[in-house]
Amino acid sequence: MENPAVRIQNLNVYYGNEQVLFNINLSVPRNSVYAILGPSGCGKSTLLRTINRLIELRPEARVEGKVEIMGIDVYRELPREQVARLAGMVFQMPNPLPHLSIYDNVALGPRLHGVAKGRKLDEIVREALEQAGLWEEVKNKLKKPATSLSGGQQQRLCIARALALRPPVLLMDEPTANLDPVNASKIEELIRKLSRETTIIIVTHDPEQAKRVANRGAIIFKGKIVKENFIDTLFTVPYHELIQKLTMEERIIVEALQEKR
Amino acid sequence: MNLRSIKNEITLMLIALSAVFILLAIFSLISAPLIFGLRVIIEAGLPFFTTTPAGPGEESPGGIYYTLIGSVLMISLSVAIAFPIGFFSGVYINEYSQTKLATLAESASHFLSEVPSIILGIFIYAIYVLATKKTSLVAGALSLSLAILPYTVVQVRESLRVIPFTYREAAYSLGLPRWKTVFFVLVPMNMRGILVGLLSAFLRAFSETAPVLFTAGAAFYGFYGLDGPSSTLPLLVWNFARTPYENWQKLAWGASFILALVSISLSLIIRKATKEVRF
Amino acid sequence: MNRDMLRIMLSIPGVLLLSIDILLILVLFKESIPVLTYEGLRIFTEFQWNAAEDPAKEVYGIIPPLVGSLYVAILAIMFAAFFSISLTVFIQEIIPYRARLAIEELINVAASFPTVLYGFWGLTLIVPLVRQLAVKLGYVNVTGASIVTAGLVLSTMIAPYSTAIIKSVYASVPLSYIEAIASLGATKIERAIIVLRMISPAIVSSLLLGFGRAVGETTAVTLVIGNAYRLPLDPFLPASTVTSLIANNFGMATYYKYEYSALMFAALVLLIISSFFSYVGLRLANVSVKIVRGEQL
Repeated sequence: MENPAVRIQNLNVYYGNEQVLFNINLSVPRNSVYAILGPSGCGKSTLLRTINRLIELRPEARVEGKVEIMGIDVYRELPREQVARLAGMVFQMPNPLPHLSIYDNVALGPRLHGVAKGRKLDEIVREALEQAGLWEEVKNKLKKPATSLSGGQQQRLCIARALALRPPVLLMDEPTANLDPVNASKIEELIRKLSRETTIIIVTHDPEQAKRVANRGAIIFKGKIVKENFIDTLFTVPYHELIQKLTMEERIIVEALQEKR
Repeated sequence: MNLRSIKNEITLMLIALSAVFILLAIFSLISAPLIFGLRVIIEAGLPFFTTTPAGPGEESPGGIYYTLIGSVLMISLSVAIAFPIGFFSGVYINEYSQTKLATLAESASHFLSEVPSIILGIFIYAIYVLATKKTSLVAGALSLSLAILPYTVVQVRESLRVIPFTYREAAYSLGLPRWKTVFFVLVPMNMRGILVGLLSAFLRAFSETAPVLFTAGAAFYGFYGLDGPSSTLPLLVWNFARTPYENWQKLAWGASFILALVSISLSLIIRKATKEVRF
Repeated sequence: MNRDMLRIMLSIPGVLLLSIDILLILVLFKESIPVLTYEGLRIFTEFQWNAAEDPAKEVYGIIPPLVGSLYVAILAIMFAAFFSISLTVFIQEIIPYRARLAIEELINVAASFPTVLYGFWGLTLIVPLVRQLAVKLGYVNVTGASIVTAGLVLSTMIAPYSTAIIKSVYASVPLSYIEAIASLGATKIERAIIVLRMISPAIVSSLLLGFGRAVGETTAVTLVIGNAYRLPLDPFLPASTVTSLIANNFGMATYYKYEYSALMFAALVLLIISSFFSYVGLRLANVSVKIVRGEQL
């Protein structure tokens, strides 16, 4: 793939002595939506957090390998704080900072990095909220606390907050898992729209959602990529069957090892 | 280096410096009585524990014999008074938590814990010392019991509150009446919590000075019974630390050593015991 | 033993608790009456404390020591705020895990340390230091015992408590918020500052509680404040607080006609002030818990 937005090479991640990601290799094409699927605990959230170095919040985490965003090695060529300008993140549980207003939540990123002040900052906030499809609903109450919004609105606020730094990549960790179907589909529509100008990597446990929004994807099982392809090809074997088969195989292997002892 | 990282570095240094500063202050606070006090005790030897204070300006500091007796008796008495009251109050507040009395009692306990300790002393003075027309060990114990009562209430209530409901259900399903459930099942289950409450009460009674300033008297040279004036270690330090005589200062340091040692030990034990509560 | 008997028996200690509180307040009120009928509002306007054999010559004014109490307490929480916030960030963000446990133990021990030892330490270490500082600032003939000294000693006393409170609230901020802040590219320090802003009600609450405590502290203050009766306009001069006033004068108070009552009144005022700040501090603490849980206020 030429000029991928994100390229991960030979990534191995450890928590202390336990290895959680094994030899991950993948490339995410620009301005597309890339899905990462897998059962709980398979490492998909860890993988996402390895891309923007959020994993370093855990002192026992160890990362080996290479992660490039827009051709820049984020572990070796950039200080950690600057990675946010390349990749923004949206989380499973909408988490606008409760002590800040709607405006201040979106403005937080630009303020931290000293990007803009005053009028220019207002414009950035407006643009981000428009991109997130929230501007019309909040333009008259920007100073209200962020917690006064509904769940679906809060999640869109978080998207705006991440977009305020204009990152080329947006990482989303099960963004609709805690939303009702109506709000979930609004977010999915937003994702499709944003992907024209932003590369989106979305972790999801729902293969139907992946089919709806993504172009390409990877299935992770126990820290390893078991399948990686365009979305249609990814699900030639139905997802749930695949996971079941893998789980059973795993069990057989574990039991065989125990018998050996 | 840009402005942002400069700001970060300066803030980091400021934080680290002030943190280290206060930590050093605390460290010196705790080690001073340990170091100076130990030196005095070693110098004075066993007599430090078996004689009375010497006269002002003399060679040796003398000893804290009667104060030790006074401390032990007064603290034991105050815990004996306060712990049962606190224990049963704590049980009541936990068991009947919806009643008005429970809410009132809890507020009352909290109020008492926030009363400046010297006021506890003058309160006992007003109702007991004036009535009996003298300061006494008992009066001191009463003041101390007021100081430790709220903590006992809270400790006991907490130790019962954290027991998962399933155990209570199990006891009921076996046909146990409520009072048996509480006293023969729940309390023994969190004996550790209750004991920690007991230890905390001892620690608090041991460390307080203000409540006994005007109730216990200042008898360092003899023992005059429960009914007579007495003294405690904190009281001794309070009295002798302010004097200009070197041997009396040494006496205060020696007593401080014991105060510090006991306080540190009990704090560590209580902390360790509190950590391990598990069901 | 049937249910009602149990309940009645158990409720006795609770009633006892309540009665103690009520009795305490009543006693303070009752014993304050003599001096109030004798002096009336002069107790707030006189700036002297004159216990005399001749009752007609007795004059008591509580404003100077009251101002002293407030002055010391304000200094104490200002310093304590600075120290406990720094200490919280230091422990949570800067030092490695092993060192953290040792420091937490140290703070825990300090929090239960006898206050008379704080006073003794202050007398031995802080008073000479303040004297040196005062001399450098141009004061002549000062002992070093002063409002500033008491403020410093009390701040060392309050800091362990407020650090413990702030630290526990800081540590309980949900990981989700921490991740959100970090994902926006904040450095450790920047993240700490944002979290501190988020928990600011808890910080204020711990300081208010500390203020209540500082106002009521006796032995640590009396040993280092110099016990001079004056309106404390100059913080480097010896002064007194309500607690040091009581500590120094109560013993002999019953020999005079009105001094006992005057001190009782001073104690009542002290109790009201201390309770007020504790109450407000507690209310704020509940607010801060709500914020950290993300609930609507």
